[in-house]
Amino acid sequence: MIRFPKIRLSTNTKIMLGNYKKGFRKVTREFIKSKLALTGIVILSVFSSVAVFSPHIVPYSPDMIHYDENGRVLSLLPPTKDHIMGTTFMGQDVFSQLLDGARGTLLVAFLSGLAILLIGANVGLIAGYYKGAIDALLMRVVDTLYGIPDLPFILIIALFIGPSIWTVILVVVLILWRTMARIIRSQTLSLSERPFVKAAKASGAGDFRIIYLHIAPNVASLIFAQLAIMVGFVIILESSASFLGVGSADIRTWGQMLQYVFVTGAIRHAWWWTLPPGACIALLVMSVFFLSKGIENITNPELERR
Amino acid sequence: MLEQFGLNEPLHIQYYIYMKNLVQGNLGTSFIVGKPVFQIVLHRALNTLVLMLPAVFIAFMIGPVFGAFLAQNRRRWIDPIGLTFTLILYAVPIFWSGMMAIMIFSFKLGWLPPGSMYSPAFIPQGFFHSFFNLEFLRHLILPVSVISLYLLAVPTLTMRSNMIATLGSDFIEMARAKGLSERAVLYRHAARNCLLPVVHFAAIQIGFAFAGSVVVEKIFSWPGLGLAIWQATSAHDYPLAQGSFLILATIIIILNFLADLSSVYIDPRVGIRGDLG
Repeated sequence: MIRFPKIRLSTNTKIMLGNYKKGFRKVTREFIKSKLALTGIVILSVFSSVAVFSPHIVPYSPDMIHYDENGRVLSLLPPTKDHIMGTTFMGQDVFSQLLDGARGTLLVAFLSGLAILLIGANVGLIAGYYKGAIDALLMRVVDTLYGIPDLPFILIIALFIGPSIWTVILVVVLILWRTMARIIRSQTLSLSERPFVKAAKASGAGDFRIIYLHIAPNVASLIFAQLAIMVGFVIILESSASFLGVGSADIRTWGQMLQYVFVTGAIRHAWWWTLPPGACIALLVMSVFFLSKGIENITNPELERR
Repeated sequence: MLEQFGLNEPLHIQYYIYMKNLVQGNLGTSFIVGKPVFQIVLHRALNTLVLMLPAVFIAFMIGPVFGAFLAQNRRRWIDPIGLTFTLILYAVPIFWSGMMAIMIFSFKLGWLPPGSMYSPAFIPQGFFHSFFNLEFLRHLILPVSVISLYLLAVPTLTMRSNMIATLGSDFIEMARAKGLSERAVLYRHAARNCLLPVVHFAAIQIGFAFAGSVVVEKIFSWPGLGLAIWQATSAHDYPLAQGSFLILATIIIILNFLADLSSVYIDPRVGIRGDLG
């Protein structure tokens, strides 16, 4: 049997953890009260559970080609009882593909969001805290990134290193951390002049401790509000890129579904194939925007009540 | 063939040749079309411009008015509905709204052509005629409406939140205390101050519109810069892809610069030496 070493917490840490617990409960309560944030969370959790459990809830295998009793491919079949969203040009079930597509779309959104959070927040905190040459250097990098048109850049990079979903994630992260870094930096700049930071410095706290234990919790709400918006952009960018054919064939996303709609010329009449993926993208992006707005309202209540 | 394009040299020499040509305004020759890249790109950029400028113009005419209207009615039922509507416009991927628009207005109702700049039989006579004729306008309506609906969200949201912030400030109280009508307070005092950031966003949005032109132009098969990049990358036409990307990035940087300049020009409080971070 594995025995875990017993962790001994100092009193100080215990108090801090207690505070976090209390804070967490408070935040949860506020989230439930805020309609906007709650709507966002509900939609997001529905999509996430669909993404996680999609192999178990799809009515058919998403790549399975369906035939009618005469053995002909059921191409572009309007919605029926068996296929509630009709079939694709290839005779595949649209609803199953939609559920399967949630997986790829959310995977890209999650991974890119995580990377943007790590890079953007850290760069912002470090640039804002150290100021001077480090700040100047990092911000010039950010300025340069602002000059790069995102979608064309994905196409160009895909031209050189080959189209795949990883190319999309790489380029999206490479470009989108700029906004996060810039916003966190300006907030950190003003926070690092506050008395509590000076007090921490005076009592001998190291830079690392000040940045991550004193400043970071104070910009956390901003970071997450910004992250939600960024994830929204990631989803739109990814679906645009997949629509242009930069995605890979082994991971299905909603943008890719729309690509097939377009290249097969099914936009002439196959609304049952065009409507669902786009509506899902829009709904997902809406949900993260709602979440972001909700976080803003919770942390900054006077904004809306004037 | 390889020698003609300088592809037999090692990479750093190739890079040197490219940069040397670039400084002289020579972006190389397209592998596929065989024409100088600069010529193609210039022509394409113009096509993108005639598509994007009207769209940005419309969005930034309607957006601030709509935003101010929402701010004015911020305590009524119309505000959350208007806000949700705007967020929907922002969240809908533009290529999908374009596809839906084509499906409805071109194929279902047959009102407007589904794409491209002219009908195949149409041959424009001269530069002026190529952009000022009914045929062109008919092809322009659908893409421009789709793009401007998409672009509408940013000015609306910016205007609305600025208005709400401004309406809480002291000089608005003062204007109200003077006994001015609510309309005068809103549109003569508050709205003017809120327009500054919106103007700033306008230039940036044109830049974004250029970046997003790839998908829109693909949907509407509009022969602009975005479509050029897409065609070049799918045909592995490296000089054309690089050239059009370079021009696109240059346009966006210039527009961002103009945005910064314009806000300095309009609002004296924004200093050039200040921290723009």
